[in-house]
Amino acid sequence: MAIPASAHPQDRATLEWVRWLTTTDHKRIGILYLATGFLLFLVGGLFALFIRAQLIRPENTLLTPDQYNQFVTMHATSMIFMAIIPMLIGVANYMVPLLIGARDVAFPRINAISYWLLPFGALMMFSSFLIDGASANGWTQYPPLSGGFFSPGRGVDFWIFGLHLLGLSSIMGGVNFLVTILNMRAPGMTLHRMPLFCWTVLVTSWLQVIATPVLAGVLTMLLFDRNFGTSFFRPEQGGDPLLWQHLFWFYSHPAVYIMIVPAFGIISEVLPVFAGKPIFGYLAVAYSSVAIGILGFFVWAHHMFATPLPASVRTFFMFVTMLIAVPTGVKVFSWVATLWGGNIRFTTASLFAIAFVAFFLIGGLSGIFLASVPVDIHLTHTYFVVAHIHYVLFAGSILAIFAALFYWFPKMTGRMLDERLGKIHFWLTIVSMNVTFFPMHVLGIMGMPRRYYTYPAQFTGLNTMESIASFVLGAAQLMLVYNVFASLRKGEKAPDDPWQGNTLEWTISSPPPPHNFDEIPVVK
Amino acid sequence: MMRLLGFLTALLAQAGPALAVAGLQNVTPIADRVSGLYDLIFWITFTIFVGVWAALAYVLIRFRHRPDREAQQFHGHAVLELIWTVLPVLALIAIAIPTYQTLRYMQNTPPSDLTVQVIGHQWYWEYQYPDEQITLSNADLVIPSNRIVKVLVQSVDVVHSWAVPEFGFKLDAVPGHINEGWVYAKHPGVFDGYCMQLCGTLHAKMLTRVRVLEPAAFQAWLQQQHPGKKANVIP
Repeated sequence: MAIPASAHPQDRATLEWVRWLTTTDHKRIGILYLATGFLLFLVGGLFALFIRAQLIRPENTLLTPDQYNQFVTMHATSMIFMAIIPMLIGVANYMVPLLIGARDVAFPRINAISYWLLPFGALMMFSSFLIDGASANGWTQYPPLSGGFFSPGRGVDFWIFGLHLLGLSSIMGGVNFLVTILNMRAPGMTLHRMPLFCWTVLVTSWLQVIATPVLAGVLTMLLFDRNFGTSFFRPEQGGDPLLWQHLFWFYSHPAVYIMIVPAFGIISEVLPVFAGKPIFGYLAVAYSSVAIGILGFFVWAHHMFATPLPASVRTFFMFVTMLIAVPTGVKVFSWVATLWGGNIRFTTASLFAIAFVAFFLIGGLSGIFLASVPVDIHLTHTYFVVAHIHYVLFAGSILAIFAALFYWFPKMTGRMLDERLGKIHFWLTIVSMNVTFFPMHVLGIMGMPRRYYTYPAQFTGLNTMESIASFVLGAAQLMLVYNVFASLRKGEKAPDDPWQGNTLEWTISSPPPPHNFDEIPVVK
Repeated sequence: MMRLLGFLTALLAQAGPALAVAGLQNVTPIADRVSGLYDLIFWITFTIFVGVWAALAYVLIRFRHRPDREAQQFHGHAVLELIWTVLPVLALIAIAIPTYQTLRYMQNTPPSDLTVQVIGHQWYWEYQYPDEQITLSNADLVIPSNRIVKVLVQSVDVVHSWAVPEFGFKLDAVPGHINEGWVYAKHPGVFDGYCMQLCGTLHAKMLTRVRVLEPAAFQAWLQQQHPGKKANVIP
């Protein structure tokens, strides 16, 4: 079948901004995802800064208890659904067709719809602040608290609608990438020759397609309980709040793998290039992602160890949760081995990737404590979990996204990001991130509960320290914003292959032509 | 077998300032075991942490970029990969066995001397002693030391969670369910309790305390709750 010269017929529109808004080009959609996701990351970060400001001392009055609970809810919701997942999907959107030697994804128009669901879903969510307040029940929305009686405003309903839109985006994107990766690889690119980032997007897409519909279902059940008199979760009418927890976590546990698996893929692309040698243990790294994608469906109840669960159920989930540490460990060791014997160049991209290995490790190891039920009983619902979450998501996903940004920005824009600014941003981020989140492990062991707008005096010292560090962390991100805008305007021009990479995107110009490849490459 | 396990746990518990580091005491045997397990996991994970960081520090210095260096183009090493798959499995088994034993210990309530119902409300705790017909609302829970106390955690409105860190105790209060656990306080004292599941606006204010009294003092306290009526004697 002859490929037309321009793969994007809508590029006939005369105004550039209209072309951007109506694009079906995966590269532009990728940039839209990244820009929107990054903006929402800053919004989510702002919520966090308010939370930390409130917690700088006990009995602080910056936020009312209800406002605090709204901010806690929307911080997590923004970061998970409107920042981390979209930014990773943005990277996937831009890079996967290039990495597999394709001209676009399988369904470009659906790709565009998937993107547009993000700003509208976000608007839906945030509009709740303007109506009668956002939901204040935590992003986990446990009924009966989230039910119509205890949350009578519209906040939860807007949250549900917003999440329906975002979830739809996820499902469509998942289908798109599954089809793209399975069907559109360049001739000669067998699955075992495919770049590891594509493996991770394949696994992530599988997770999105299987898990997200369950979220859609349980959200609809809550919507119905709240508005149409059903009683899925209302015990006084024969329902069960635990049903929500099981169904919610059935999605939300795979969701955390959706957030980390593509990050693993990014690291597997970046480290080999800057080490100057191939990834160590390609097959093990590829199939460990698959293992995580399968095992990830059998661990959800480890979020529920303190609930009334039968002993056998707790035991099963505990064993599988521990098992998931094994493929994750394989990756960490493989990355270190990738650096071994290399000729390691320290650029901002490689620094973030190395920092990922060093600090995500802490998040992974704290998970082992939480896997052991008796220890989890002591630590669950405390700041230990908050520490774990932020190590895997900030020191994990976010650092990987930063690595991807510094690595692929030249390809996407034709300009290099400033390395000096990048390294200052890197060090500020790493130091303040650790001072913010590491003490949370200790607070958790001491028994400080989560989602507390104030706390007993013995927790003050560590909280104050974390709050100050968090302000530095927030401010440091402005350096990245400045770097991006300044580099777009006057950054050093980027060659086709600034890093001496080994994958197909470096064989075409920076930025690539609309149709990506003049001739579809044949991989030998 | 149980005695061997008890010995191992006691051994670990002695090495275990885990909760003590946090300024907390281990008031119950469950807390002792949790402390011991925590330490076991800590040492294993700390070893992995140090190992990975040492390897990283080494490679980042030894193999940093030099214009004359050639990166070694190897793709893998089957034996090494096998080792670092099997060793973590063994470490996890070493954690899983005492974990499982402790879990069974926690989940099987021994024959109890006293039963207490812990009932969560927005935003206070209510305690009922069904056999003694005592109800305490928004007050300290009082229990005897050196006695098995069965604790039944419930809620009348939303999901709460009753937790006393120094007991190693936490159970979610889910409406429509009764969540059963047990406490054996080794010595008297006053211990802080918290609500640990977001339950609405004043979730952070649902603090509580447990006062553990010597059995005789507890008996006297019981008597005080029903002046003029003879209280049941707690064996």
